[in-house]
Amino acid sequence: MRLHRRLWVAVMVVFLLASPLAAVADDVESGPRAVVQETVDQVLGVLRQGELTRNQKLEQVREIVYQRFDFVVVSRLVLAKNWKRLNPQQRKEFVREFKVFLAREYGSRFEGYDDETVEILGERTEPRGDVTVRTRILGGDFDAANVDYRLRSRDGGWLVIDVVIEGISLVSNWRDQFRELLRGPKGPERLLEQLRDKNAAGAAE
Amino acid sequence: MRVTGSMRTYGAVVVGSLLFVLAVSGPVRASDEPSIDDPFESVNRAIFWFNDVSDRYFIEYVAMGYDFLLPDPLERGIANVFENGRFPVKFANNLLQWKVRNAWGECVRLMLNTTAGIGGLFDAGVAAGFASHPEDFGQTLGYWGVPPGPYLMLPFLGPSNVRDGFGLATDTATLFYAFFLPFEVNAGLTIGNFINFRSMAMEVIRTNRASAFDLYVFTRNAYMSNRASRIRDQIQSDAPAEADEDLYYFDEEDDPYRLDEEFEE
Repeated sequence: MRLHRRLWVAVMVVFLLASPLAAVADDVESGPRAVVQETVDQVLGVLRQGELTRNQKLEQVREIVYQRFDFVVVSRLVLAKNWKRLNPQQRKEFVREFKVFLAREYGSRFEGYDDETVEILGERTEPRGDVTVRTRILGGDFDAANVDYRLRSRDGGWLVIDVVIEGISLVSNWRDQFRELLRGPKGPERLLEQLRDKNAAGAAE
Repeated sequence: MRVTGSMRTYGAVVVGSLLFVLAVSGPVRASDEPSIDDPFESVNRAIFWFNDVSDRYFIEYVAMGYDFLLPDPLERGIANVFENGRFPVKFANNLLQWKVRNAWGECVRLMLNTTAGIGGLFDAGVAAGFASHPEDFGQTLGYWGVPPGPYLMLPFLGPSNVRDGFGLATDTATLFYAFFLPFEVNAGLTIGNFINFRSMAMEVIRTNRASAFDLYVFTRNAYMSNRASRIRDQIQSDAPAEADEDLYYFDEEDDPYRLDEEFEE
């Protein structure tokens, strides 16, 4: 009985001590800036492992990207109004294939930067609550390349919804390209086919 | 003489444009309407095809040879020298946009890079805290509200638009010293700058080619976006990007499908 009570007190003490700390830590460690910092550190960590082959690296980067991006939001943004033209089956397939494609694209854009450092320059809150974290890649062929990550809050965490390289938004760029592909009644099928082809070519490299 | 001057800037631009052989528009709207003004698309596509084929079958190989011969740091140094040479354009256009501090920064950069940086090989300016502010006349026009006008694909020079094409011609005239150099020197510099740039952009261009669904559209969007954000000085700003806000939202009422669980895995 007594032991029980002691244990109970101990638990309470730990709980009381830990919770304010945990709350503070939460703020610092899961804010948009921290999410970007962690992501970039993880990606560079993988790219710097000299003993891995290119495909192994890209696979590991893919796992990181899977956790950090909100693929449903990105998919809907790149398809814009055309999202409605895909049936539920096609939407599902699009999200699934696009995820693979985006992760590989992200990885191959950054694989040349394995010797470089990434600096977080600042962040801004966008008009409707998203946060853009600005980073810069130092070293490499194009020194001081600016890469911005746009994040959106979802279920208490922050997920990346766009990457903007030197002012070029991947979402906007894909949206323009997909708009072309989606022309005509065969559009959705053609888009999915090309996406599958790209992924197959990527996997075969 | 006039021709040599324009050849000289040619290089800088081909370079800039090839970086994104690949290459922009104002705010992208959620509608199906393309937001980029491209009335000459069929002609542009033909010229793009010509540029792309010239690159795939000739220029890329030359650049690969060059890349094999020169170490990367030297290529970067050479790019810095050319950048240093663009001082008159950068200085004048910072002033024309009333960016007096940046214009002064360009003067300090010219002095530091030419002396401590050994003719511009090393970017001593940035090491001393003076970052480059590469403004050109196309950006100046955009800054004062001139719209880009129709998108243009130029032979060899790559993506542009009416405003930036006019800017390019003006920038060429701004590089006054080119008028005093013999044709051979100007031509050599232009080609050298171009090949140097092309070899630095090797990986980027390869990735672009592999990942683009439509390289022409990819290039057009990239060029227009990059120019627009440069003009708004958005790339290095902590101010919210009002102009792009629409890109990031979809009309929920218009679309019966929510972020439902069926997509979560």
